[in-house]
Amino acid sequence: MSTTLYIGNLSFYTTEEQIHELFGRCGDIKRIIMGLDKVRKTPCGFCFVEYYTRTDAEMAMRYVNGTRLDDRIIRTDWDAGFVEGRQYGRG
Amino acid sequence: KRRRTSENVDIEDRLESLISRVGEKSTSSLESNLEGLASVLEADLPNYKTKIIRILCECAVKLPEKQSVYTTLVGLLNAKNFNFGGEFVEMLVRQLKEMLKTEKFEEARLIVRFLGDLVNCRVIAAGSLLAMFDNFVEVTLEDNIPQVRSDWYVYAVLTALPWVGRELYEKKDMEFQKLLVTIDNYISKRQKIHVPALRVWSSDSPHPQEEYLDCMWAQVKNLRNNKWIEKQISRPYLAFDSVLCEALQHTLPQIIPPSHNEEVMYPLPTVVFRMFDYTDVPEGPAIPGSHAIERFLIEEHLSHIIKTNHLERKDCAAALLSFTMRNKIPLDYMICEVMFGHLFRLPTSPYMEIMVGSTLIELCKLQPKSMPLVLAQAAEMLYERLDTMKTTCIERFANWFAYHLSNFQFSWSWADWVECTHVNPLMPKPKFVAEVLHKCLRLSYHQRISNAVPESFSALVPVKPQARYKYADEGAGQLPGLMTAHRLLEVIKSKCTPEETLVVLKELPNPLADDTDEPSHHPLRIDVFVSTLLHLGAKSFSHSFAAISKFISVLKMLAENEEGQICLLKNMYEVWSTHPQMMVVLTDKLLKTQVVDCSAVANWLFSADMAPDFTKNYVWEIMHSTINKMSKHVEKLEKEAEEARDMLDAAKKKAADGLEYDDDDNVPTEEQVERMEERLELVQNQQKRLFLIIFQRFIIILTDHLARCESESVDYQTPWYKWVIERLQEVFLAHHNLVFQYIHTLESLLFTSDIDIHILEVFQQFCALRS
Repeated sequence: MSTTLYIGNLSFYTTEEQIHELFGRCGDIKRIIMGLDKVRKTPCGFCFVEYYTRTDAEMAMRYVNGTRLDDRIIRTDWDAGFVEGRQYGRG
Repeated sequence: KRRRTSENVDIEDRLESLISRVGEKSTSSLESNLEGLASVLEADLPNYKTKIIRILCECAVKLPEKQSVYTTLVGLLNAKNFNFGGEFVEMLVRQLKEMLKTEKFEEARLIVRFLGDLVNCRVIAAGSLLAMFDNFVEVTLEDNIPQVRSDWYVYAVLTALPWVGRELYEKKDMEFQKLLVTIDNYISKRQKIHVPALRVWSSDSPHPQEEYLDCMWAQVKNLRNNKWIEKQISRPYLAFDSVLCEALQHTLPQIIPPSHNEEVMYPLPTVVFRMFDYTDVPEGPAIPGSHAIERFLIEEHLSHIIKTNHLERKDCAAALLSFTMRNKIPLDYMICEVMFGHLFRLPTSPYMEIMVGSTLIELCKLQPKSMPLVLAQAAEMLYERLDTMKTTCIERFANWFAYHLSNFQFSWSWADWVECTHVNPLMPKPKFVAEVLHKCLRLSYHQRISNAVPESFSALVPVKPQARYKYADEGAGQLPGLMTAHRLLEVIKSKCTPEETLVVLKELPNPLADDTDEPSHHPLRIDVFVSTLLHLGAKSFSHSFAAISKFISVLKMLAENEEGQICLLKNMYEVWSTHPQMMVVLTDKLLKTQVVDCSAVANWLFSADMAPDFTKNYVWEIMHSTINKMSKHVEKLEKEAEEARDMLDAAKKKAADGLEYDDDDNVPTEEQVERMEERLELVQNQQKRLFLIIFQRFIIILTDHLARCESESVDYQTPWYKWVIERLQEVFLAHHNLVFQYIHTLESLLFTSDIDIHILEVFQQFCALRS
């Protein structure tokens, strides 16, 4: 069972800190991986949030999906789990 | 037993769906739906009786907001099939007994209420229900039991009376009066030491914060004065009176409360949360008074809707807004009060704070014309009452408010609160605003928050979070570690190994060596290394984590003992004092990687270096997360040790029975299990020590304060005192299950009769929660 969420529709300026603050309200976060532009290596609107437990990740799906961060309605989806390389979006 | 064929499964699923959905919004009337469903079920009874009974019993407990729909349905079925009614009651009673035995008190209370309503539906004889109530209330006469036990049994009876009071009054008035006299006697002699610990506000102005049983009893007495007639409960069975009055009734068997033992955990008492009265509602129907039974019934109904739907915030908001009698009550206000009541509930909130926050946002979306206004009014009122609000609740309020604002462009009429910028910044209002802005900052960024508030608020806006690397400051030339720090910076940047940093650090002299031959730790090495490492990782959490991970061996070596660990944490504070969130996550990381121990974190937070920040929320965020980490660790080891022990015992039993030993089972050896148990004992002791440290440090700083105020003849009730004594209270409440294990140790070691009464009171109130 995955404990990782894919978070989409983030602002390019949203930081790991902000994501931590919001998603940390649902449980203990293991790590956050910022999605980066392939070429420029700058944030490009998505990230992965991995929790220690499935329950905490479910809470985030329930209570954060469709609410605002940095004035944008963000989307959360289940993710199979992060593997190196997937942090790079289409440049 | 009949085999479940796929056809059976289909029908059973269909029955489940039909039953669980009856009473929901529908194009036809509830009465015709109930009549139709009763006929369908009657036809299915010969084949699916057990299943139907099971589903109905489940609905009684899981969908309490539709209780009278189900009692009516059972009534109709009983009228058609007397045996079914009997079996249903028998099953429900069996469940009740089971719930009481397994300490599922809320479920048990709902069954009691359901049984009461079955009297109205002519399924159960009034006299036998009264006999059960008598048995319950007799618990109040038992000796040597905690009050929470008798409280629960009385409460279970009282909360059923809005449903069945009228029937009992009409049919068994004498016996019913006797029952009420016994309850009245009990209510008047209860102790209420626990109340101050559970109140959201210390003041009764503008609204009394009443103990839950007192309030319930006042409401029931009013109901009695109204001849047991209320205006809130929908009673679909009234439409079927002609059918139901023909039915035969069942007699409840004797239901005797299981006797008390030390292990039983009864529900804790509560204090009723009130924030509105009729003067707060500008137009439309009035809010029922605080002692009107309708107030309780609406609150209970809304709470049940929340409980049923809390995992789906959109459903939850929609269900709340489609409350059955929404036009007869100021629904938005009632929802708001109940939601905040849950948010502020002590000792702990029943739901995650973000559940309340995100559901309130949904409510605003669904009801954009009224809900945002009601919420704004609520926030305004809560703000006005901050001076007497409990610290824990102020923090929850600030967290919610910042979160809410972050979903609404941070727009708020800040100018209305400008007065808070003129008073002592340690007072509740300016402190609340500062904490809200800090939390807003964490969800946003500095410029945004600075721009969101008027110029006059600038003193309350947090400074821009920045790492401070003192070895790059002007005037750093005076610092003894300067040269080494710069060299360290270079070698780490050129991707050195952990060992190579040790070589660089080696040249630093130990400032403690002057005073002692065997210094406990090396503050200068820790300073240079931690400052430099955190400076290099300052770009983000991930960068900091990576830096810590790479040099974890060096950190562990430098912070071998508690003194070293505290020193390390102090250096982290030097670097990151303007970035509380960074300190929160870094401390978390250092704990998880076992660079620092929980006790070191606690001692650090209480140290003189942290005094300037001691009343800030983030310090307590770290404290509670440290305690939680410790307890999770204990739980994990407990589980592992228990499982290993069980496996070993099972294997031994197998062997004793002459069964073959199976190598594949990975059965642990006796030695392994013992080692696990020793390890568990060790961390259990660490946990206990952590609490002892925290409480002891509280006692020291509070005693100091009280003594100083007395010697200087000044009032001890300063803002600082409020924050600190209420944080002490918070540690008790937030971790009440754990702290209760140590209550005897605490009583004999720390909270002894010779400490100041103000501190002792906090402990006594806590003890009274379960006495």
